[in-house]
Amino acid sequence: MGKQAALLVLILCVSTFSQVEASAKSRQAVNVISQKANTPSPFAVGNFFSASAAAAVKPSVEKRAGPKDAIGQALADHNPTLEQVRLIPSLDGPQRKQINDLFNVYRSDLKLLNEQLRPLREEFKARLKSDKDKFEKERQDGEKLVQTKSEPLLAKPAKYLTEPARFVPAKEEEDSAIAAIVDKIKVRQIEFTQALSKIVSPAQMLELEQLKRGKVPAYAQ
Amino acid sequence: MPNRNKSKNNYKSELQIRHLLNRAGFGFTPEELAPYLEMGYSSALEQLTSPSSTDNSALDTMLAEQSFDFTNPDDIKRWWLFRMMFTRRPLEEKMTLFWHGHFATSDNKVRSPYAMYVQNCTMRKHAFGKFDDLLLAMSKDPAMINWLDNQQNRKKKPNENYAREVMELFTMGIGNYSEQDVKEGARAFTGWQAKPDGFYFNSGQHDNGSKTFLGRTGNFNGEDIVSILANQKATGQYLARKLIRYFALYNPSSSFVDEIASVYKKSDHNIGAMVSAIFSSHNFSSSACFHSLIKSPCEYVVGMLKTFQVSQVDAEVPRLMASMGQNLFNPPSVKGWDGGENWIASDVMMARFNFATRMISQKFDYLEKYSSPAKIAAEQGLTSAAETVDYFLSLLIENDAPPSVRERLIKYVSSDMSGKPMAKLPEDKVLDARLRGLVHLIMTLPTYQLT
Repeated sequence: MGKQAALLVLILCVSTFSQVEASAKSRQAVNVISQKANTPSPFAVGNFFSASAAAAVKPSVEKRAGPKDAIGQALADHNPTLEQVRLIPSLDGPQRKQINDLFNVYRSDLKLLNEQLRPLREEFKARLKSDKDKFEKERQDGEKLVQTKSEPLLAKPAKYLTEPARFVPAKEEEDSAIAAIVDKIKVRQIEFTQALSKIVSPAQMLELEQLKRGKVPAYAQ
Repeated sequence: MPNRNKSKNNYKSELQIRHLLNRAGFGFTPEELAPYLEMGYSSALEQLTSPSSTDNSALDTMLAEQSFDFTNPDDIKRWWLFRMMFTRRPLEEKMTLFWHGHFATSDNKVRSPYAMYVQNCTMRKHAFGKFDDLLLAMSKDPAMINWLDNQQNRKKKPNENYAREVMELFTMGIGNYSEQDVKEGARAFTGWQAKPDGFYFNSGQHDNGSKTFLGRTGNFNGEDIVSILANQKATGQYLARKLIRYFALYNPSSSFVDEIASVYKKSDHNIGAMVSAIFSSHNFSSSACFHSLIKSPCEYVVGMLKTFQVSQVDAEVPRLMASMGQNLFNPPSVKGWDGGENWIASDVMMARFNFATRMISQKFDYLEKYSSPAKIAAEQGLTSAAETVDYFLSLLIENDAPPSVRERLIKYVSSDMSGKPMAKLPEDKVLDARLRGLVHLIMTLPTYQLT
């Protein structure tokens, strides 16, 4: 929008705060329906933004994408949460106790591993930034050398005479210390899945799946 | 082409039905409006207030294709927004939203999206039925039991939370009961607990002693209390006022409230009959009612998405609605949303304008597949700035704008990028920008905040 539009937006926005309330109240005195009765309908054929038949889009809901980084994706836990498992109606008392205990240990283990992982990832990021800064500095120094190449150079690195090199960042997931912790977490997740399956039967897990898909008790149907 | 020769009476009738659909739902698409226009006001009202007579299987099919996870807090919000947008029973969703605000329960405390979802289904099931049934269902609802601490309401240590709120907020309203009634009511609800599959009566924790409640004495349990409360005159008055404030007028006359409260009594506490009476009332069709309520974020957002016939619900929409002050399944307190002028307080108003900006600048990406605005303008036969402005004023705010605003909008559309007036509508990109700007300006007008 141009300057004029921006000005109009500003005027209308500023006036809106006071006008909304006033508008709601003043309406009592105005018979809008009868006053506007000769206005044509905008709804005879679609409207301004109506999709053409060819562009019709099937109704859908967009979901949030999961983690984009490799570590985040690797650590995605596909196990159900305690809050989800608790929903299973057919669990008996002893099962519920076992499940609580299992989750307590699991959560505690994961917390510990994540506490080990976090500083490693922070260190890695700091190291990466430092490497990048160092690389940038060397590249800039190299460019200066090339710019002054008419002057005699004692030892001109060959790389400065070719295409400027690009910084290739190290991959976090390939860092051995990080990868080791990630592996431990993945193993722990698998162990948990196996332990949970010894307490909760497949039929009970199916109950949970049905709830997740929206099955409601008879009283709510 | 719009039917510009439509008779005066026809358009008046159309405005009345648009008014009805705005209040009884969340706006409408042209396809949704058309059959209601065809059937006329009375039949439209009858259809809206008897939702079970409308086939909603298309919605069920669409919902089944979305793969919602009802244990996920974000998914239940998207699920409900999806319902609001694509249901063929708009009043059913509007009533469910009313009950969500009335029996306000928040997942912030309940911590179970699934329980919130089940509560929502229960509200929808009883939305138009006998109030006693809904009140009993809510008293036994697991999310409610956790929300108002009835799980901890035991014989030897009664918890008064639910007993207090059931009178203060759900039935009679403050001033119609005593502290002793709260204590006695709490005793009646002892042992009413929740289990994963629903209500659980813990007889060992129930107080079987005699109670005196609202002047009556007996060995009352929760069901007795619900029945006594539903039969109070004050309950009819309280519900009538609240329903009128939600659907029609912020400050109804006492005679209007009495009229609807009498329907509550005569219809044996039928909510559908009360709602139908509100929409049939001359108060509802009066000019004082038209564009007199401030849109809730639900009405603002879903209405806008419907007007623009958006087919895909962006993942960000629930969060953006929360920034406007309405976080579904998370009302701010036991009182629900205050609504009214709070919807346009300074801290949330900009969120509305930003949503309009996002919509009109296609940040959601779902409009880019559509035809170019310039082409559509040509198809609609909009050849002048005045025609264009009138078209959009009519589309978006039933042409309810002061002449001075209309003139300024016409000036805006008929100016070039440097602000100089043009003899005719600009072309292509300039027109596109002008029309998007025009629509945005209308959506930030005071009247667009009203329903």
